[in-house]
Amino acid sequence: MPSQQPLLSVENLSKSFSGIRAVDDLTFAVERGEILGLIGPNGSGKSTSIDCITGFARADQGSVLLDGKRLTGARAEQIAQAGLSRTFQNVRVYDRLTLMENVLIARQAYDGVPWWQALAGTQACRGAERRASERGRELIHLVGLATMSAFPAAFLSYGQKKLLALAMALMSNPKIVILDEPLAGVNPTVIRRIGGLIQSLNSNGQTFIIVEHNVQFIMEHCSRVVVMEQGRKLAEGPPSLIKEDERVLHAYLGKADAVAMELAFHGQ
Amino acid sequence: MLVSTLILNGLVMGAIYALIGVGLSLIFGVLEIVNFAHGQIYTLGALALALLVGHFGFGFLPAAFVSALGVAAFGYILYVLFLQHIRKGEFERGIILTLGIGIVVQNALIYFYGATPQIVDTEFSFRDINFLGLRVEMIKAIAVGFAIVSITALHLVLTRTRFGMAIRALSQNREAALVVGMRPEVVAGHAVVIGTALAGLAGAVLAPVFTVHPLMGAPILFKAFAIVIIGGLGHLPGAVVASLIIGVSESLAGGLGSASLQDAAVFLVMIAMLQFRPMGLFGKGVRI
Amino acid sequence: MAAASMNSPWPPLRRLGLSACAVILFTLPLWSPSDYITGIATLAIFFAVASTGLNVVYGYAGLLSFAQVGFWGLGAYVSALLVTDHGFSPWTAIGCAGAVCVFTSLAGGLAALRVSRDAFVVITLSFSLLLQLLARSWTSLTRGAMGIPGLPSPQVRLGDAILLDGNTASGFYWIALGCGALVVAATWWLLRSRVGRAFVAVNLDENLARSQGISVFLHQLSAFALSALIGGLAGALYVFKLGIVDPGIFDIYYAQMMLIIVIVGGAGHFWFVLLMSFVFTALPELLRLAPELRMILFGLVLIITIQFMPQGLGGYLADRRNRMLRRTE
Ligand SMILES: Nc1ncnc2c1ncn2[C@@H]1O[C@H](COP(=O)(O)OP(=O)(O)OP(=O)(O)O)[C@@H](O)[C@H]1O
Ligand SMILES: [Mg+2]
Repeated sequence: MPSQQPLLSVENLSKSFSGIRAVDDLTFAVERGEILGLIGPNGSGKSTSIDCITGFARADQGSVLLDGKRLTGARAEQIAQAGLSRTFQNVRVYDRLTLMENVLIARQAYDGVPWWQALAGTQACRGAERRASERGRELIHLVGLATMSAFPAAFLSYGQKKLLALAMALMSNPKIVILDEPLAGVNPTVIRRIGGLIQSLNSNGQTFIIVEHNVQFIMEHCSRVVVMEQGRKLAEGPPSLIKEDERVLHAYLGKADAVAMELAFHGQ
Repeated sequence: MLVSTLILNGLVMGAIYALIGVGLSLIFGVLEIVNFAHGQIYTLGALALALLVGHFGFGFLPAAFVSALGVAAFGYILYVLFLQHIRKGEFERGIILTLGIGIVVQNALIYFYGATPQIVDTEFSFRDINFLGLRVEMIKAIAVGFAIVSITALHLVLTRTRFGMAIRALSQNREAALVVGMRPEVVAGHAVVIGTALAGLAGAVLAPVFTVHPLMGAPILFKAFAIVIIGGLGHLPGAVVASLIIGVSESLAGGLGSASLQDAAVFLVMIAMLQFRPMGLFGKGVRI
Repeated sequence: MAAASMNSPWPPLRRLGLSACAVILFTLPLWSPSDYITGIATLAIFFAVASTGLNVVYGYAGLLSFAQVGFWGLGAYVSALLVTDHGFSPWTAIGCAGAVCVFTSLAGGLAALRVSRDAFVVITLSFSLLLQLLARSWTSLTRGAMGIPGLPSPQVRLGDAILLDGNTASGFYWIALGCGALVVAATWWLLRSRVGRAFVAVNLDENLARSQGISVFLHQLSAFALSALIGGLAGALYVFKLGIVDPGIFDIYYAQMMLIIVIVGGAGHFWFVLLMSFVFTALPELLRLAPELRMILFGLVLIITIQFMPQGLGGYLADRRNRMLRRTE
């Protein structure tokens, strides 16, 4: 019964780098239409898990199922085509291309126009291209970069590039959007705007996985949170429970004082 | 011809290729530059020796030393003027730059030196020595001697000294050299000097073996490229092993097959090998 | 490694420049003072096409390839052999030569693209050297160093009337110009399409492209095949200008010329590379230098460009334009 199974399920995922167990027997699932937060201290294996799931790193063990389809061992571009869209922690955009070209590229592998139609410039291709530009313009506007859309991406600041990367990840109407620290280097106003954007897309059924150190943002927007520590899953549950979890607080802050704990989890 | 003779000849040539290949690999390891001017640097060594022996009456051994030193100085100038400005990750830029340098050097040599091949006559020419009952030309034996001594010396330097550690650290990553307490630019400069000196030495000791002319570097450079690819780019022992493999396969291909097969052998071996080990014999990791 | 943004610099200006160039090129034999000059212009067209091939694979897809001269020579040999030994007409032979080059590049690319980028450079170089070796030593097929002489000239006919005769300098010029313009225009069209956009994407950031469902390998392979097709077609027509093909067609000189043209024009800058083909073919003739001095000059130009203007002329101008934009932004 397809509606019963989770949209994405990650089972017993493990990955070591020359002895370091970056991801250690990680199991979690993502339900259709939810926003899953993935948090954990620096080096706890969040990015490595994402890399394994999206085919950028080869997991030593474990399996990944998207909609019941096995993704384990597939190439990154195949996984992307299957509907997992991701951003990178170290932001990646095509510096020399304009913002508009950046978002168009992000879409072109998905609209089913075969290469020979693209070469011939058929009606179908031009239609797809037009729809892509519309969507692109819309997303660039939504992330607040509309005035820059004709400039090369090299003009953008780091935070702006993060926003562009977010727009690119949304271009393909993926089943799941995985964002690796989308807010690093982004100012509070734009953070609020991104939160709104994510919420509104989510209310239309878009599923997200968000890796973030901004715990407040995670608590505010996620329906469920997975906490990692040293490659392992430490806790999992709704934000309200995670907030109270002793182990999480401890892992996150070590022996730091309770005030800092309060600040991180409940905001000022 | 006897197969053992062929193999011995192959090992002799392999040892000489190793001189060139090791220098090329060393420069790649430290700077990540595939040095397309390496063939011309080798040519410079040969021409310098021809000049010293032919016109200035040097003996072969001192002439070889002086040639290698002169070429090393040239290599240092190249490093200071050009190579040190190439950053890691700009590897195409390094190729194009060194290719340009090679074009200039080669054509300047033709212009000032003439393209006519020249035979270098040394006190060791036209003599043979006996090796396990097989005859080897004395000049070839001397060239092999040079190769063995200098490669062993390089190996000792790389494994036993602080400078060698810095070089090896630098081929792993740029900052690592700082840990050993040496400035990366200085270490890289030294590596280029050593690499070019080896190429110059190879040219010098091979000058009496082959005829000398400004275009002699190109074919041997292409072989050296194949060798460092087979050995794994930047992997020095790999380059030595690959050189010996290539020397022997060429010799066998030439002796049992034909001259053209001999010329093609190195490329065929490389292409076949890369199908099984895309990163070379000793290279790590496979591109997904 | 460079790729231009695909939005055009100064569109109106460029359109004007392009039209002027088209007129000059088309009428050249009419005002050219001698067949010699027309011949040089013909050579420039060949360099323009072959360099465009290199620009596709290096400038756009970011793979430095020395196989371009190999495909150029392979195309030349295939078309010469088909015409002399199998009685093909030059045009069919040229088409077949292009097909052979594409096939070879696909087979070769499957092997060569599995390795690292540095190894790719060396393998493509070896490929060209191997072909040259083959041309020298497979004497029963290629006649070895003697080469294959006596190639006919291609003609363009309409019914029985000969419209263009490749025997005359101007006739061959127009044939080359027509074919060249066709290939260049088709390439431009392709590079402007989303396929060309994917070449650039793969070049600029392999991982980002993969995360967007774009196959790096497929696009590198098709760029390589496209460059082989362009180079092969150019070489295949070029032999009919020479009238003879010998292993010299694989000369490293051709490879160096193509590389200089692409680097100085700016890798990934379509029109500047075309422009440079003419500059670098005409320049030595104007300067009347000894061949060695000419190559010294070219080598120096290459060194200076890569040292101070690594993106070439096109990249330099685009940079300046961007800086101006940024100031006014
Ligand atoms: N390519 C690699 N080679 C070796 N070790 C690696 C590599 N990538 C990650 N690691 C190690 O794996 C562990 C997990 O790293 P990862 O980047 O997944 O952490 P993270 O949770 O994303 O941290 P952060 O919040 O800082 O981004 C770390 O100890 C890191 O040093
Ligand atoms: Mg991370």
